[in-house]
Amino acid sequence: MFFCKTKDTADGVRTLNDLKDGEKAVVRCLSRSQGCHLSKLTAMGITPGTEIEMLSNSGGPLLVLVRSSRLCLCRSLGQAVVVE
Amino acid sequence: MTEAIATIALAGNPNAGKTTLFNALTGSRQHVGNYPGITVEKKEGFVDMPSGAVRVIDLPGTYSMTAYSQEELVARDFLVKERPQGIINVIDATSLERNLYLTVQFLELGIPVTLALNMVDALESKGIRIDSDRLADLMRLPVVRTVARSGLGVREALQAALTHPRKSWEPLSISYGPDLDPVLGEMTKLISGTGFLADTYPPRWLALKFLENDLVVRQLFEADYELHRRLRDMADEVARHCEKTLKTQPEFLIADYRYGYISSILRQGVLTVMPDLQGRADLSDKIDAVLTHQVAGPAIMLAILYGLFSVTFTLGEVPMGWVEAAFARLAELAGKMPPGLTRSLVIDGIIAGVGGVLGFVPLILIMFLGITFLEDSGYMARMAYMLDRVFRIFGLHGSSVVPFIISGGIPGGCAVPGVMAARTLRSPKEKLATLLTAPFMACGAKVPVFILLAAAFFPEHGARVMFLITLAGWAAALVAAKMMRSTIIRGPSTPFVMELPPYRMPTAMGLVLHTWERGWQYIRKAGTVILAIAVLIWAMMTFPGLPQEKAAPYEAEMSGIREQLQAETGEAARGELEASLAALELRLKEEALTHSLAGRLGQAIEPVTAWAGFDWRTNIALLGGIAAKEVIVSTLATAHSLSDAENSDFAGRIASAPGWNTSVAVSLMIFVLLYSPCFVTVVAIAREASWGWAAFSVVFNTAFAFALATATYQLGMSLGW
Repeated sequence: MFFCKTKDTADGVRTLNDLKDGEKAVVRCLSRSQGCHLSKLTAMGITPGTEIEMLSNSGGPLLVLVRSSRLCLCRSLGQAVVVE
Repeated sequence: MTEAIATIALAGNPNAGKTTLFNALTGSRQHVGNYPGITVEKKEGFVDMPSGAVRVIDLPGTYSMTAYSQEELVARDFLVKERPQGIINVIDATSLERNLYLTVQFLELGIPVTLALNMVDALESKGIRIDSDRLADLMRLPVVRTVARSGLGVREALQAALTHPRKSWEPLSISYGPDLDPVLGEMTKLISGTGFLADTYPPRWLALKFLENDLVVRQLFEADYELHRRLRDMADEVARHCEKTLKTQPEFLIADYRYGYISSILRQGVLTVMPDLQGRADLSDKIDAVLTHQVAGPAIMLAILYGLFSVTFTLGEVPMGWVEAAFARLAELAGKMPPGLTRSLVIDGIIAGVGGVLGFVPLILIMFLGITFLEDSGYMARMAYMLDRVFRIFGLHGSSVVPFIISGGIPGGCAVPGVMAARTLRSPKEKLATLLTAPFMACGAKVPVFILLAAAFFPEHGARVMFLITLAGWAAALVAAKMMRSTIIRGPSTPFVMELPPYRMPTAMGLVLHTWERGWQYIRKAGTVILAIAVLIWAMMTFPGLPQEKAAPYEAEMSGIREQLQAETGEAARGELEASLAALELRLKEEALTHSLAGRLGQAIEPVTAWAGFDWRTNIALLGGIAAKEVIVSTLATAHSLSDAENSDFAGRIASAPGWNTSVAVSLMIFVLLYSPCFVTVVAIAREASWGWAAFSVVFNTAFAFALATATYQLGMSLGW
């Protein structure tokens, strides 16, 4: 489902922030902490089941490829996207 | 205005080519305004179709129809309140699935939608095939393939929207699953039963928005207390249920089902993606590998910014000279008027004031041409991406760099276009902090003051002084931004997600139209306001006039000299007489200035400004500088009884003038750099934020500048500078 269940956000779960440059992953769920801004993520196409490719992750904002568009998002949002 | 047979709105995601399609349709027959009270641009135009003229509205680009951003609210309000005959939903065909997310929301609202499948020329290289007939069948709406850049299919799309098979609004209802459908049905029944807002919104849409926690819709319902309470109870209960069983909120469940609906359509043979072509680096990726490279990227960015800046000011200088020359000629013509108040008002007030403002127009046009190019090409988004990590530390956003640079981040800029460029910032808090701190930069009008004071007190180190002043501007802007973001504009940095559009060559038409519309807004709005201000400042420096008994001795002496001058024939003696006549005129001017409102004001605040080392003459210049910083040097000169022609050794005189020393000079430079923005900038801030914030910038910047100037002066004096 859309939102993370408690076990999904347990330690050791990988988020978008953990992906290395060029690494691909599938979005599993969005963790609730960021409230309303998550609906912005969904409108931009980051939804569970979507394949996501990390283009650049070097400490600053993240640059990812999702549904064939390049998105730049801040790390606090990246933290909310749980991937597998 | 043309009589229109129909109104069609253009809507879609940002970067889908909406505005390009709008330009291709309407050409120059368009008008840009603002939606009342906000800075979201409203573009409309007219298109001649065989059946008559059609009014076309370009709605702001949005990704969804929530109430979270001004753009989304504007688009939504326009659709429900003005009820256009239909919309053309412009879709980036290379990103079909995400773009259709907005389409579904339009369909749920019920408006007849025509899809313009834009940029179909880019599909093949991306290995994507779209069966548009099948898409049209499944979604039951007309689909037209377009390439807005070349105009392909553009008029066909408008024709399709005009001949849309559905003439009335018919909301689409999609299933939101066993958890939401029952309560959605009940809420819809309840709302339609009361007939609440029945003529504006479809009841099911209202129910959906209520479940989505849409603040604006919830507020609408507060008009009916009982209905609101019952809906809220239902919504709360289903929210609790979702939370317990699914660990989610209705809002996100709804989004999930919308994407589910879209992919169920796309899977039925609409979208074919050839996997071997996927992931192949396209041209944009190759450009990005260089332009956003960790090391090379920032270096190239600096070079581009510096280039934009120097091109603007070198190219702009020429037409700026023409405009100035034209106003000088006008002043010369006005000089033929009989001497007196009217002539003074026309020359010193109106022509000087309005001319000063219009002189910036060429600069602004060239600057906006450059910025529009950076924006439309897709580079601006990359700049924001690269700078974000630095600016974030100070509570700003990566996009803040453009307003800073334009305002004078490299000395010589201008805060007016700088503040206007802050419009590209999407997060309100960061935008506000940028607006309020951009005027700290060393704009072109402040530079003469620095040059003058540097020449007078640091004759050997002019360049170093300018460099330090520039750094001081940046430091002050970043520190003040940090201060504001931790106090009055406090709040966590707005989380942001932004699309980096593929690089595209901007269309010439788009560049010209966009540049002109920004320039015209400046001419019209700032021009009318500045006229009033110019007259006001003139009046303050003119009235009350010198009483006759005080002016009489000067005039008697002057007419005496004039008589002698007529009688005198000797070259040397004539020169001497003319010089003493000029000196007398200046002393009369100074006497009048002392007596005027501005002069009295300058003297009245002297006890306070003395802390920072400023005397009453400096005060007048600084007060005048609030109207336009250019005024500071000329007013200082007038107040020190020196004509403009003697400016060259003005520096020398000021260095030896009583009450002036190095501490005063440094203190004054700091104050001029940081104090109240000039009036045109204040007006621009008011337009981008509000009059309240504009007033704040006057008070805050002046207090900030005064505190620093006082500290510098006192420190300097104690060190015996």
